[in-house]
Amino acid sequence: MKCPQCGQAMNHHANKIVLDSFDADDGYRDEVAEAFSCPHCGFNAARQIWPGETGF
Amino acid sequence: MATTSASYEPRPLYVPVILGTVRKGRMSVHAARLMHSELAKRANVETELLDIATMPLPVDDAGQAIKAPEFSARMNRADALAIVSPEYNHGYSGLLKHVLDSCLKEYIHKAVGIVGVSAGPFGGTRGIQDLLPVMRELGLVTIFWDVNFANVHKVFDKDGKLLDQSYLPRIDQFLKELIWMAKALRHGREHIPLE
Repeated sequence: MKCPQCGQAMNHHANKIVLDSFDADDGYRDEVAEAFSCPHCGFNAARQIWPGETGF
Repeated sequence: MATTSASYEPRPLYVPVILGTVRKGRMSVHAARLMHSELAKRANVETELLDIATMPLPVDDAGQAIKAPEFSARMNRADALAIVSPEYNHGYSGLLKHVLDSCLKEYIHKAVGIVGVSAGPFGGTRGIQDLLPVMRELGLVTIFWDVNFANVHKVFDKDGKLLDQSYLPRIDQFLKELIWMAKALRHGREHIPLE
């Protein structure tokens, strides 16, 4: 991921299940947040992905 | 091999203090202001006191659905958090949980230290114990020092002046550990890939 603040390549440092993504109709959706930080400016970013995309 | 700390401190650390109660007459505000003033004395650290009583979060929904942009931006910028949490009925404030739950991705791999406050002799230890698993699930990394303001009415006067100076070295140890963990985790976030 490119840093949205300075354009440098960000470091992917974590995958985190998002238990907050409970849906009353569908149940837990087990979304995963990929977390990134920029070594240049320190900006933190994340994107939501589905378990299948990480091989869970 | 010689090493320098400069490579770990290209930017000041941002370590906000969160005051975790909205109750009228709260003594925790004195503890929060003291933690904020002690943090502000540290070199290369920027801090801010975030009072949950001033955050206009709705109570007709919860979680990231009620994310406040200003709070989210501060949590995104933060390298560590110092949470001041009074103990109510052996637990922490429900509104503190409500506020913390409004973010998640913003917290991942960041340090947190908890400051307990109570009118009784245990200094909020039971509330702190209840908060620890919440911190873990939010993606925060807890330090192993706490500050416990026990019998808080004897620690501060009505104007918030610290009456018991023995708290200062405890706060110093707490902040040293919190800042060390903040630096280590920043380095990890920015330079160590997951795989």
